[in-house]
Amino acid sequence: MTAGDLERRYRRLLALFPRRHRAEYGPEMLAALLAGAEQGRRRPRMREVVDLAGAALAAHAVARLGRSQWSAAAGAVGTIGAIGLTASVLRNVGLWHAVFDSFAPMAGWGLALVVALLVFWPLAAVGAVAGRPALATVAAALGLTAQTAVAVLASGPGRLPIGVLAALLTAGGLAVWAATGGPALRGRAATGGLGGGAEAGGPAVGGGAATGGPAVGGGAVTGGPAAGGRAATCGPELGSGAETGGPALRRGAATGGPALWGWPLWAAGAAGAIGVLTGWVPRAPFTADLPWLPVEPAWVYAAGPPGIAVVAVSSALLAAAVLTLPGPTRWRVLVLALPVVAVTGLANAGLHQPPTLVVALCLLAAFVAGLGVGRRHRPASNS
Amino acid sequence: MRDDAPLREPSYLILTSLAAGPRHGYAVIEDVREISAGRVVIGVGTLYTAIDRLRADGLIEVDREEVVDSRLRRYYRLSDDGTRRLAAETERLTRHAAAARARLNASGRAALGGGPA
Repeated sequence: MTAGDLERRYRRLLALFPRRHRAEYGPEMLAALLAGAEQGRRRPRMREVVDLAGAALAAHAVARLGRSQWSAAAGAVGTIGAIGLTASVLRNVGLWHAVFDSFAPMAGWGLALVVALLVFWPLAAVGAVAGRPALATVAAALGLTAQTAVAVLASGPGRLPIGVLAALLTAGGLAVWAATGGPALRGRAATGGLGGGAEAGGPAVGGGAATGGPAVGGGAVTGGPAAGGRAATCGPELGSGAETGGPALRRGAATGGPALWGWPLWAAGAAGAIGVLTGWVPRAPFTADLPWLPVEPAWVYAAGPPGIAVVAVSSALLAAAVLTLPGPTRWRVLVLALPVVAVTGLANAGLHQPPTLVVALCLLAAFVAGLGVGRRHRPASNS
Repeated sequence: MRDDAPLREPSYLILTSLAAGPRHGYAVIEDVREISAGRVVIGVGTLYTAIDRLRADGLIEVDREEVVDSRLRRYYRLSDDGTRRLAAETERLTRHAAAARARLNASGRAALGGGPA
């Protein structure tokens, strides 16, 4: 049965494709492959193997990422950042007794700003996880404003704490994500709906195909499946998420997209939870900066081995959050996060926080670079 | 959406092929081979990557399905958007080609590119 051999081998190659792609095109691809094979052939040609393997890889990439990977990376940065800043503010509440002294000069304003942080960052995190970029962006912008005000009131406008830089990065990432149509999370919500129906897979996949499901990255994403995914993930978490950030994450990870968002969200959430705990453990060493980045050597030294262990574990979790992102998103996330991570590293090395002027210049440079990238991706006009 | 982004060559040739009427996947491959004088042989994987994308962008749609020899054959056709897009892209390529030809002629180097064989 030479024909049987060939068909079996083709089937094995087609098994490399993602499930949705197989369900949609498997039979006709097999038919086309067999139609193209000359009589008596038993093995696929090498160029067919290469072509199919490459196409399968591309299909996996599209299935996981959608097509706009910078947008996906911006969404990932914004989401992880919002989780971190939520953890940061929750942690600071735990540190209230210690931080209070430095806040004393601002009296009522300080309290109001901290309450604002307590509202806006969790809201941004929940919005991001629930796949609502616009909500997340507005909340993050308000959070950034409050964060900046706190920093200026506490230490003057000359230098910006790392928390403000992280807030800038988070708000910027979420804004880019929202402005570019937020394909990753929404696409994730859509495919999450498809895949999340492991029990109800069949009909969901069919529905996706009917409504433009294949367009994970395209405009069709804003249509039915995404809306469905969003309806499933948002809403109830707003209340519970504002309290702890925990339940919303869990639910978001469960329904929002197991493939892309499951592990990174869990890892970032766990790192954040550890950061929050360090604020609430009695007599814990503290810093007002990012809770789950290894900040300020004094933090580690004052804490002794337990502090070093906590920093190591939360750093590893944070690294895991980035490393479990799909490849093309991962390195873009690293590129986007690099400035803040670098500044944190410099601060750890004993250097001062960056002057506001330097930050402003860097932002200007990033803006110009962003324009350049945007222009490159903009369609050539063809009247 | 990037409605106006240049089409990749396989996509352009697939649309060209479907401009003649609905075709199933393998017929598209054969047709493309023919219209490119054997220069472009689209692999099945590449073909369906492009088809998936073109469908997602609304440029082609499923015309009908048939079962022939117990094998599924799905016929695709150009959508109205696809027709417009193919026309616009062809216009663009024609303009570029015309400009290139005009300049080559003007500088008297046309023969270098590949004169009459």
